[in-house]
Amino acid sequence: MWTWFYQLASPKWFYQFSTRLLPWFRWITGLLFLLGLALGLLFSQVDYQQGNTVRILYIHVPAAFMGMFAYVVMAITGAIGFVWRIKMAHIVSVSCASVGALFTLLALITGAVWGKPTWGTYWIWDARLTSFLILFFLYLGFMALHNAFDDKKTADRAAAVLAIVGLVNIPIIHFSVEWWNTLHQGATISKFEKPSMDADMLAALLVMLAAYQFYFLTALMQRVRAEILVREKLSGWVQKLVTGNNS
Amino acid sequence: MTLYFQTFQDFIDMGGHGFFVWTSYAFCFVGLLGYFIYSNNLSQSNKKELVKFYRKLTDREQRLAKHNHTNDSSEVNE
Repeated sequence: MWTWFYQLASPKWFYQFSTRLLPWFRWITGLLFLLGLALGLLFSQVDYQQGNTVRILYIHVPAAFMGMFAYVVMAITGAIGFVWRIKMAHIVSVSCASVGALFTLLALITGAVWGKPTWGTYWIWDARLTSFLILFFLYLGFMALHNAFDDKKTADRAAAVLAIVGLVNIPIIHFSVEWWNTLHQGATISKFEKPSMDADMLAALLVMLAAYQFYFLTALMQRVRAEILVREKLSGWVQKLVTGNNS
Repeated sequence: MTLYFQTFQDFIDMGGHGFFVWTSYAFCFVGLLGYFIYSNNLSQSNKKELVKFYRKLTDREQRLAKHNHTNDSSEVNE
């Protein structure tokens, strides 16, 4: 099992392994999205107060969850790269940033569009919304900081520190709805209690969560592969792969 | 499990909230699909850049070899 773990840290091995894995991940992502959208848009019931706007839930909640999930992955892999100086960990960390920023932006946009008919406003400086906006800025800061250095190793280490420090925002986002009086509702799914929603709606939400998760893995893999090519350009296997000969 | 909407018009209308529901779904669709295509093309564009990089590298090596060679011969002549 440990050899498998060590191999994962080798860019060459990861590139070859992901070449075989990627088509499967794309198919699973596509199928999960189709199933999730059918369940969410066609078969699930509506909220008695919100009516059909509740269908925004199926794209908003997974986007928000994945925005936070991608940040945690980014910070943890950044920390692993920082402490043990593992190349692959930094590559994954850096690749997480833009896809995480996309999820966060989508959660903010869908939330704003959902807020208009439900709360009567697109935006309000409420604890949950503001802390989530900060998450988006943390992603932008991470990418800007990483781009500011010419030397990739320095950039990796500096950005990793920013990601680790910014991790403090994740529990703030999660508990913001309990600590402060906010307009945003609390969590509907919890590990410890029975979920307080209809079974059809829950099924649709869980399938969409899985779809977003696989989308994240697929997009991350594609970015990691592109990053590996650039960073390993001086190693023989990349040159062979790109030019097709061993010169 | 039953279909919620009776007609296609109901589905588009979303009980009067069609604008909000479809706007947010459109943003997600464009964002997710766009990023998927972008990250998929990234490898290809990087490969093209690398082809140029390797060409420059081999050119430089050849010029360097040629340069060293001419220097060697000039030393012999002296």
